Amino acid sequence: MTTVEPTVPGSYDGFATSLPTPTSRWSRLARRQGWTAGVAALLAVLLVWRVSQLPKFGAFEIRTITAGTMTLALLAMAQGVIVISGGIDLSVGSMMVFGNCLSALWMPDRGLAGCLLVAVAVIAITAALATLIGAIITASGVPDIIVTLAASFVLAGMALWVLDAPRSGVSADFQRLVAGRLDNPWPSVLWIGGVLLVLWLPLRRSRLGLAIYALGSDRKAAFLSGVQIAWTRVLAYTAGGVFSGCAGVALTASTGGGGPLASTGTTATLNSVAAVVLGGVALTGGIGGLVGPVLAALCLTLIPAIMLGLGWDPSNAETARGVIIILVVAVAGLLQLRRTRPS
Amino acid sequence: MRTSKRLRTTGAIALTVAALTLAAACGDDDDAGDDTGPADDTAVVEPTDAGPGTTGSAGTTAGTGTAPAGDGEYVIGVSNTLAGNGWREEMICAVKAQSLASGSVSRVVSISKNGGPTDQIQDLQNLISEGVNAIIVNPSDREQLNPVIEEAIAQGIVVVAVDQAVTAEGAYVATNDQVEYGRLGAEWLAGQIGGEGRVLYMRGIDGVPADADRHQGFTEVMEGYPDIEIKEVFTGWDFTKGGDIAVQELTAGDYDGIWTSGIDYTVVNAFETVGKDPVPVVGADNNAFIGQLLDGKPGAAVTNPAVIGGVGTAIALEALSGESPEQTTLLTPQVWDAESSTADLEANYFEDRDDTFSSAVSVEGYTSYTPEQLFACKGPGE
Repeated sequence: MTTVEPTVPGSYDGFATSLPTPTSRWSRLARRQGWTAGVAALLAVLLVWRVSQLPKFGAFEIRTITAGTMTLALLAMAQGVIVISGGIDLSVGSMMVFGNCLSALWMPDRGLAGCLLVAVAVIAITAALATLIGAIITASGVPDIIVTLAASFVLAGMALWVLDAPRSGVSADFQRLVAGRLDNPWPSVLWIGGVLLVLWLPLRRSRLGLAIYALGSDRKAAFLSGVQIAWTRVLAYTAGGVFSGCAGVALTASTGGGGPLASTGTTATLNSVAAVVLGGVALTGGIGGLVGPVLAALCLTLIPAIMLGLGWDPSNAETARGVIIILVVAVAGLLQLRRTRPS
Repeated sequence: MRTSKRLRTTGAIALTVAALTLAAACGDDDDAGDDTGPADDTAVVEPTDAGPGTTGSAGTTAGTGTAPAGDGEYVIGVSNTLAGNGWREEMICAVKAQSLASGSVSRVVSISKNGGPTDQIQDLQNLISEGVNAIIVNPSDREQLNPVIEEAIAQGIVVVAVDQAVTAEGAYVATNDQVEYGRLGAEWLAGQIGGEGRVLYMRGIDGVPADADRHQGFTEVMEGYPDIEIKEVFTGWDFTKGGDIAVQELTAGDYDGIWTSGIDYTVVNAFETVGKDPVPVVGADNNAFIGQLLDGKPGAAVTNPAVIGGVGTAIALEALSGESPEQTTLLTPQVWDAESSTADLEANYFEDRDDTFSSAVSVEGYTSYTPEQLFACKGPGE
């Protein structure tokens, strides 16, 4: 009775912790990608709905959606990686506007190569600034929500300092390369997908990526497992800074210029949080990926367009958008609760 | 057991989401039906030219918007990026009212929400996707919207920028002449105070184009009056703040006249607050200020009609009907004071409207709706 080998899980009732029941491939897939699949389904429904509203649905209409989502998608990635690490960043929108202003300051009168060089420089600067913000949070012990809120005001001020009035005149070649002609959806699709594949996928699979997830799941456990907490936190913000910088450059490409309007940043930040939540990243950290937020960003772009097609007042459309987010997240939260309850 | 439960869970999420959106979709099919119903009715009115009938002044469109019968049925899109602002709301109402009065519009699709050029580019693209025939846009930037505006024009859509200009080729522009706004008010005030004395110069927001233009007009006039001493302040175009500044300034010293960039009636009220006799105040066509002028307070209203939206609509319909309106329309403001233009003041004071309602409700030669149609703020089919 006492010396049976614990080969059969669960046969040791009451004595030792049983080994977890091995889960099947399918259930793992469902657990990991279930939410993303749900958002993809939502996106499909919205897309079909939108197509049915329009007199014609061609390249122009597709590009309206994809290029219109590009900045939000990139910003949602920035917010996503930070939220996964267990933090939050209320300055991503201002960082985007700052990057936008910086590139709009340097890009005019430059050729395509010059613009690309500026883009890289701008992304490096936003990454450095985000690193600094992360370092301040880690070193000071002041909650991230406060530091990043303060940083958002600082960045909005810096954007005004860089560019005191809207400015345009960015090379048309650069605009086309990033945002595409008005009838060409491909560049925007490829840039969103490219950033996911080239930046996010390797990061997720790397040691740092694992540490970011571990940190978000349980800080103490991560520490006990040898994760360098401080470094990982700071580097998560750095990654966020890279994505915010990309969003800023994408904004410059899609408008052909920049403007230091603070409200652009605030709205963008809030939308990024909405996309992250709708995209299945848990605000408590450690759960979710970046594909979900990108799909959610597409949904968030489609909803107002659909409301417009229905002839709704845009202010009602905003309300509807909020209600949809609350409902989806609440329903999902309830299901999650049911799942974790011992059966 | 667990496996199936998890699968069920995720399935449930997807289903809930889908059901939710579908439910919303079905609910709105009815609305869409309602929209087209009355729209068809108005379209029927137009060819029969039943002017004095149901659509009021549909037959008397002052030469504009008289689309040839048969190919009416236009859809007008509106894009505005400052929501919750009375002046802008009235601008949109004017688009709707003019569309209704013209009889040749079936629907007005309006996107009015706060945002910058990025949001507006998206809004304009959505309007193009909706298949509108004309777009009335109050632009958030002079240049950044150009690519999408040019694309709209390439697709045969008439684009009219109102209130502020865009540089896109082929776009019509209808604006109030802000330099003239500054000049006319300054001239009136200088005349009232006999070319000498202290003037409180209450500007709007530094760096905003309209403020810069008004400043240019004001300064040009005042250079001719070296005996006028000017004290410059910024109100931020905020009625409360403007009133507060006026109270402080009037408490600290005496002025012979006040020029305001449209923050007018709270400044007039400030005289009462500090217990001083009012001096001439130059304001805009805000309803409360018009009321004060009719009440005998010294001053003049310089019009800055919000119904520029209606002017833009008239221009768009003219272009759609195959005529070629002027590419740029610059409306010269009118100056109304109690001595010379009592009739204008009386005609443009509306007791039941808000204090900040822009009282210049029509623009001769362009708008053809009745004030009631403007107040109702309903487009065709609404």
